[in-house]
Amino acid sequence: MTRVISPVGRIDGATSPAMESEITEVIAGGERHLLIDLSKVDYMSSAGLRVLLAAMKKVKALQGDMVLCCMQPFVKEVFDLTGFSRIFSIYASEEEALRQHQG
Amino acid sequence: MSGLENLVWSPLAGVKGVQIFPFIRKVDIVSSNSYLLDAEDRIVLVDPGGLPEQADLLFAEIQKLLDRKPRQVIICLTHVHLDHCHQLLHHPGLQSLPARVVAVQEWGAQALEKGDRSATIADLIQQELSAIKVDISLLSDCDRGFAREEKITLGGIPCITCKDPLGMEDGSSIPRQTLPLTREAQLEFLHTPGHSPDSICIRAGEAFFIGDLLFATAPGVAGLTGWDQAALLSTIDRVSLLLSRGGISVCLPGHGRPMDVPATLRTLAAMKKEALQLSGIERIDRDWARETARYAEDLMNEVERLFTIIAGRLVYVAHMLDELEEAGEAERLRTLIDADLVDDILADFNNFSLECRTGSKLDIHLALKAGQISGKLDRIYRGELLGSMLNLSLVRRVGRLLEDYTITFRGFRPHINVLPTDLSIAAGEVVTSATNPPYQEDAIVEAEDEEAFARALALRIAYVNPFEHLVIDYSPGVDLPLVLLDKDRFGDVLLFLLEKFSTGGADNLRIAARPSGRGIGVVLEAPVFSGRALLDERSLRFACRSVALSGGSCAAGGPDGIYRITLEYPALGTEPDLISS
Repeated sequence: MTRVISPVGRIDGATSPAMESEITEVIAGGERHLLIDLSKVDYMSSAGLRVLLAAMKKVKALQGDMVLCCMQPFVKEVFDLTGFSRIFSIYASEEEALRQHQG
Repeated sequence: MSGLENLVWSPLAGVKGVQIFPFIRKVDIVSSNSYLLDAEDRIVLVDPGGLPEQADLLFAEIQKLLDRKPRQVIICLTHVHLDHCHQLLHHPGLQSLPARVVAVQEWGAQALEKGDRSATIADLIQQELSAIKVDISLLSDCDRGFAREEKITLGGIPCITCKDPLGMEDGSSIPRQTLPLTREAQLEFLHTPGHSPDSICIRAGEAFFIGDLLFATAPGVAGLTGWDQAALLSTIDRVSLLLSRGGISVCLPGHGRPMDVPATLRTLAAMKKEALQLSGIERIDRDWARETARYAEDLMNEVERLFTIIAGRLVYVAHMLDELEEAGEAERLRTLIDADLVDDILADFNNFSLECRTGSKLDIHLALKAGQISGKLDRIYRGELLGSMLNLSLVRRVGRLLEDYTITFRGFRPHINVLPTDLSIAAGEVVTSATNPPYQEDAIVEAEDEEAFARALALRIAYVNPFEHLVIDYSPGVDLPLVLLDKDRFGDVLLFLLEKFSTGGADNLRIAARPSGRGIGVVLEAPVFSGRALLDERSLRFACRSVALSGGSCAAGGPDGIYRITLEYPALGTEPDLISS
C-alpha cells in the first residue's frame, strides 16, 4: 500500500519543517511506500530538496521507497537543473506513479 | 550622545529658557522626525511629518503649551517632501491652530501653494496633496549678497527678519534668514540645496536641524525631482565648514537618531565621495519606481531560480559524495553557501512583493527593498568558491544579476559592453558550451592526492546537463554582417532560453542565425502541443529585458504548433542610437 502525501504552496526554509514532520510521522506510523504529490507545490528551495532527500534515505534504510509525481513547471525545472531528477523516480501523474510503483 | 531623549522635553543647549521635544522615528520614507521647541513667546515645530498618529501626539503637546500660554506657532519645513509635511496639509488640529505661521523656503513655498505633486514627491509615494498658503517664503531674494532687515508680521505680531549671507572661510557664503526665537536668540534658516532646491538647515542655539541632507546620496533618493549634484557638493562643503567652526553640539536629522558634530562631518566627507560619483543619475520618479519595481520582481525571480539550482546542486553533489564515502568533501560543499539564510532572504522579498501586489506597499518600497535584498545576497554570495565547484555560467549569472540591480536601484543603467560581433560564432559558442561538460575527464585519473581526487570527483558529479533530452539543431548563417552586441550578456540570455526550452518540455530545438527585420537574428524554434508557450509571461519579460541589455530586441510567437523566440541585433553600420556604456 502506498501512502500519498500532498504538500501545498511554497516549500522553503520556513515551511519545509512542516513537510518534514508530516513525512516523519507517516514513516513512524509504519508506512514504507511513499508517494509525494507535488501538484500543489509551486516553489521548492534547497531546504525542500534536503527534506525529500533525507526522507528517501530514511525509507530506503527501512527497505521502503519514495517516489514523486505531478511537478509544477518550476519544481520540475529545479529537479532537472540540480540533478535531483537522477536521484528520484518522478512521474507525471498520480495514477502513473501508483501503477508503476505498485507494479 | 546628544543628551536628548525621544519624546521628552529637555533644555535646548545654547538658548536660555527654551525646551526641545524630539519625535524620532525609525528610518523610512513614510514619515520624518519632528521637533518641537517651546520658547516663551512662540512654539516652533520643525517638520510635522507624514503620519496622523505622529501629528496627533505633536498637536497634543502643542495644545498643552498653548493652554499654559497662548502664543504663535511657527511651523517650518526643512523641505516640502510629503514625508516631512503631509500632516501640515491634512491634520485638522495643525490646520486649525489659532496663530499658526508656516515658514518654508521660497521654491518649496511655491510648490505647496501650487500643489506640485512632483516637487512634494506626492506622485512617487502616491499620496493625496492639498495646496496650502505659506505665510513666510523663507530666503527669498537672499542672493543679493548684502545684509538687510525687513519688517514682517508673525501671527499678527510685527517683528524683524534679517537676511544676511553667512560668510565662510573659503570666501563662499550661505544664504541666511533669521526670525526671532526669544528676545535674545534667533532661529537661523540656511539655504542648503542639493537634496531638493528648497532644502534648508535650521539653527537654534547649539542644535542644527539638517533635514535630509545626510540622505541626499542614498539610492532612491539621489535623483528625486529637483535633486542637484553641483548644489549638493557645494552644500556639503559649506555645511562642513560651518560645523567645523564650533558652536553647534548636535545635528538633528530628518530621519534617524541625533548625531554629534564629528560623526556628521565624517558622514558628510563620505557623502562627498559618493556625490562625486553620481553624475548622469536617472531621474527618480513614479515611472522609474514602477519600472524598477517590475525589474526587481523579474530579476529576483531569476536570482531565486539560480540560487535554488546552485544550492540544490550542492545538496545533490554532497549526497552523491556521501554515497561514495567521500564525507569530507561532502561536508566542505555543504558549507559553501548558507542555503537557509538565502531561503530566508528570498522569502522575505517574496512576502514583500505579495504585499506590493495587494497594494499595501508601493513600487518605490519594492524597488528599495530589492536593493536591500540584493545587497544582503551579494554579501553572503561566495562566487569564486562556488565557481570552482559548479558550472561557471550559473555562478557568473547570479553575480551579474545582483550587480545589475545594485546599479539600477542606485539610479544608473547597468554597464553594457557593446562590440562588433559575429552572431553566428557567438551563438555557436553558447550552444557548444551548453552541451559539453566543463570538466576534464582526465582530472579524476590524474589526481595526485586524495583531496585532488575528491574535488575532481565532485566537479564531475556537479555537472548536470539539462539538455540531455533536447536535440539541438544549430544552423549558423553564412556571410552575415557583424552585429553590435554585448557578448557576455548575449551568452547569458541565450543559455537562459535554452534552459527554459529544455525544462519546458521541448525535445527538439532548432536554432538559426539569419537576417531578421532590419538586423540579424538568432531564432529559436521548438514544436509545442496545444499552442502552449514554453516561457511564462515573467520569464519572457526577463528574457526581453536581458536581450535589450545585450543591445538587441526580443519577440516571441510563431505559427501553430511552433514556439519561436527571435533575438534581433542591429547589423554593424545600420544600428540605431545604441547605449554604449
